[in-house]
Amino acid sequence: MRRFLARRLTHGAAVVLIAASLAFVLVHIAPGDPFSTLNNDQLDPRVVEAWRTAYGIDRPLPQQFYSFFRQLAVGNLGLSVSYGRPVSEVLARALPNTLLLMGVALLVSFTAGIAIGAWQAMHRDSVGDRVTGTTSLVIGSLPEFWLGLVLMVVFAEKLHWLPAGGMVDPLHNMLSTGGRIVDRIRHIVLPALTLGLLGTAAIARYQRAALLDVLPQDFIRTARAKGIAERWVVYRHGLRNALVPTIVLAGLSLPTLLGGAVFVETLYAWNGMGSLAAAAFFSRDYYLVLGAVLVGSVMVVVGGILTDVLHAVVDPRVRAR
Amino acid sequence: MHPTTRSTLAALLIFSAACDGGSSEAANDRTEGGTLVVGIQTDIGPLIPPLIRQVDQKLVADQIFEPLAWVGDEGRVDGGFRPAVADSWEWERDSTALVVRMNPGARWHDGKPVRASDVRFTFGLYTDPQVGSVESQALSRIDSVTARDSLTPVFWFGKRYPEQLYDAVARMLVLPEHALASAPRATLQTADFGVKPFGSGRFRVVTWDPKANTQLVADTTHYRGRAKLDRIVFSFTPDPNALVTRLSAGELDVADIISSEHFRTLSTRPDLKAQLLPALDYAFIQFNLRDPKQPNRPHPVFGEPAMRRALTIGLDRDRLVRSQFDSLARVALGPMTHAQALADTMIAPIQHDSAGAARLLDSLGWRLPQGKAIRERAGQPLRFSIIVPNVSRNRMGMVVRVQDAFKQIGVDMQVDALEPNTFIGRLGKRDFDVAFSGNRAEVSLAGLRPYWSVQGADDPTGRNFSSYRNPKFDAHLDSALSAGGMTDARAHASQAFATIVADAPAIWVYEARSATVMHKRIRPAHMVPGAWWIGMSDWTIPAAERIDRDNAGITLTSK
Repeated sequence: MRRFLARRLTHGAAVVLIAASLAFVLVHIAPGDPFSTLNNDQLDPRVVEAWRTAYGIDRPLPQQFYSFFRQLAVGNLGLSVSYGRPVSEVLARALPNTLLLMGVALLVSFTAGIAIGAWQAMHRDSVGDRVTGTTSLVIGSLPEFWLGLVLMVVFAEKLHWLPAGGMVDPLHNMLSTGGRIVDRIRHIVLPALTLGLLGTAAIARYQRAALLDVLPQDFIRTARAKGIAERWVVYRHGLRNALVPTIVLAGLSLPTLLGGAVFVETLYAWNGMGSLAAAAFFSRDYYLVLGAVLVGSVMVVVGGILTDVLHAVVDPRVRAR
Repeated sequence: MHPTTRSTLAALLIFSAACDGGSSEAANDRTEGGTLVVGIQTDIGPLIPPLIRQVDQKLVADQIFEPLAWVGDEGRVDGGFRPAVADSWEWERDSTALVVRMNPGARWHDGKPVRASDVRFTFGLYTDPQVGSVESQALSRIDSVTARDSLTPVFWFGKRYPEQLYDAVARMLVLPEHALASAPRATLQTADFGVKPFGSGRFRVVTWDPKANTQLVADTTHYRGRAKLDRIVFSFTPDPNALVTRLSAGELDVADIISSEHFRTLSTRPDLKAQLLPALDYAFIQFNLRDPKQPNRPHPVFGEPAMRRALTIGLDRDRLVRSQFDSLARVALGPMTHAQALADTMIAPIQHDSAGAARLLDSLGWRLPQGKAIRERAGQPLRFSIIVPNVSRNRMGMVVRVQDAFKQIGVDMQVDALEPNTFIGRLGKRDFDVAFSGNRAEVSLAGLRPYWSVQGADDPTGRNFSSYRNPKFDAHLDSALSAGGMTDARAHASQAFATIVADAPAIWVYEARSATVMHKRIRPAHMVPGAWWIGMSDWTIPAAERIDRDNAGITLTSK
């Protein structure tokens, strides 16, 4: 296991470095720089040039590349031009919010996906199976932005059950501790639901297929022969064994969730990595873009490793290999 | 606000107040009170007034900081100002020295007094080339600022000009020298002050979180009396659809709406009202008068003034603007808007005449061959591309209408939608035939120089992207800027505008109107064209119409 982990970590580090290098080159060859945006067009070009020098972006690209990675080696991600703060400080504010949103979304995806998939497998080829299958597929095919907008209009504007945006109420700081917790929960429901529902369809389909593979197997037949109730057979014996392929999906979901977070966070004014990375790219805030790419790729790599570990824990055959 | 949401929030606030040992005060019996939640679409980031680029940053800054005097309700630049840090001012030495008397009670939010040395320091900061303030060019017309005594700053001018009072008293927000003196100027953006800003305004910062909610409360000890509202919260909502939903749901009280579609939706709501004001933003289709491939030669198509005129009269701008914007915009007059003091609103625009456009194109040799839809000259079709920044919803919508209108007169215009940085890059390199540009007009006409003067065209890094040159325009503009009085300035400005409109280096398409949509319970005050927010400290919410968040009370502060 140790050797396996060491190998995966080495691969992961290489992936992160390659991603950062690619991002560095791509963001620099994209037109413009942090000081050439529309908002600076009223400035004297000499002032803009002086800023480029002060922030070191007038140097040749290889020199900037070397300098970035040298600083990275000592844990310095550079300075965000648009925020005027160290990138690590800006990311440290946004990362927990994204992790929270993704965590809740993952919970929504897996809880709903596994439940729907199991129910569909139990009611294979029934009208209910087809209806839930089609419905979850339709929801899964919707663009996250559109789904988010629909949920916002229905639950915030029409029904007034939940807030339409922001991470907290404008008067959050005046609420009691209990009030603040309730307020935070109310604000996360819609963004997490939007992000989570999109993954539900895929998980449900995987779960249904996996359970259908498991149910005809001998140990299930034995359980039935023992007279165990069908529901118990499916949920206690079948589902547990059919969870292995679904667990693999958890790690694979991370890049999709991160991509979805860009839209969902922007729509719901959720101060996270996704909206931050999008804004940083549009304003050509080089080091913030690179910081976001680094953190994003680390999250994906770590997610992959955790999936492998979890896979090995639940499946003895993987451990044996 | 919906009853369910209202009761939940009320319960939470009451519970919170109980936990505070009853520190909340009942606000219903006071004329002051109320919470204003303002939706903003821009991340205002660190806030240092000389570095302000975005309208939303100015909206927030104008609540925390103050100039020496506010622009009056009429938006004039030569008078009608409302005193702020300054109590009064008078001219000396043939109007080349302005002596300002400051209010002795003016205090920074940290308790220290505001002094003439702060005004001198502020001027130095705004005009320091290292800082890079967009105001520095206009302020360069002030020679220096001295402090006659601790409460009397004096502004010295080399010559008289129409907007000198505006430049001295209203252009700069006064800054605390003791907080910013040691900040490195080349990287002022990184100063801690930007995330913990304090000024002398009628609101002070309680929580600074530009990506979520930034909360200000009334400074109850303010020397001009406390603000009428208890609190303003600026709630960051980057997505325009979400902004509209939050306004409709009652989560926001006020927001600027730029899409006519959204404006129509919100206009039907009985709990909301709108204030329409002239704004400073205008959009224009600018021609490149030089050949992008050989800049020393005129553009093969748009180098001819008659060609540009033909395209201008071929567009029914009135119909196009009405069909897209309804009441949210009007046809642009020229490189100016109705919100500018020196704009000539009586200027004769180039009138629409599609038959005339066709005749003019024919006379230029661009004829419509039998059975073809696109005009040709010497076998070359009349085809060109227009670059548009894809983030501008209004321009993206309008360009399709323009494309269709051009098709009617046999002109094939291809739309090239570009990401903003690419758009700016192409403009800067003069690598375009036609560009759909937008601009925010300066209060002063000096803002026109870089965009349309000969000097701006000669400078390869300048912003006269069209390479428009007409010494007559420059001469009138210079005369307007150095005129001794407003009447003279207006006369020269009119001549300058008439010249550039006749030369048609651009088709002046539309100027936006600012549509501020707000909850009906709010009573705004001092809404000035181009800066609807500057009187926000005098906005009120009648006690009888207040909702739960209005009654949260001012004594409850951040925990």
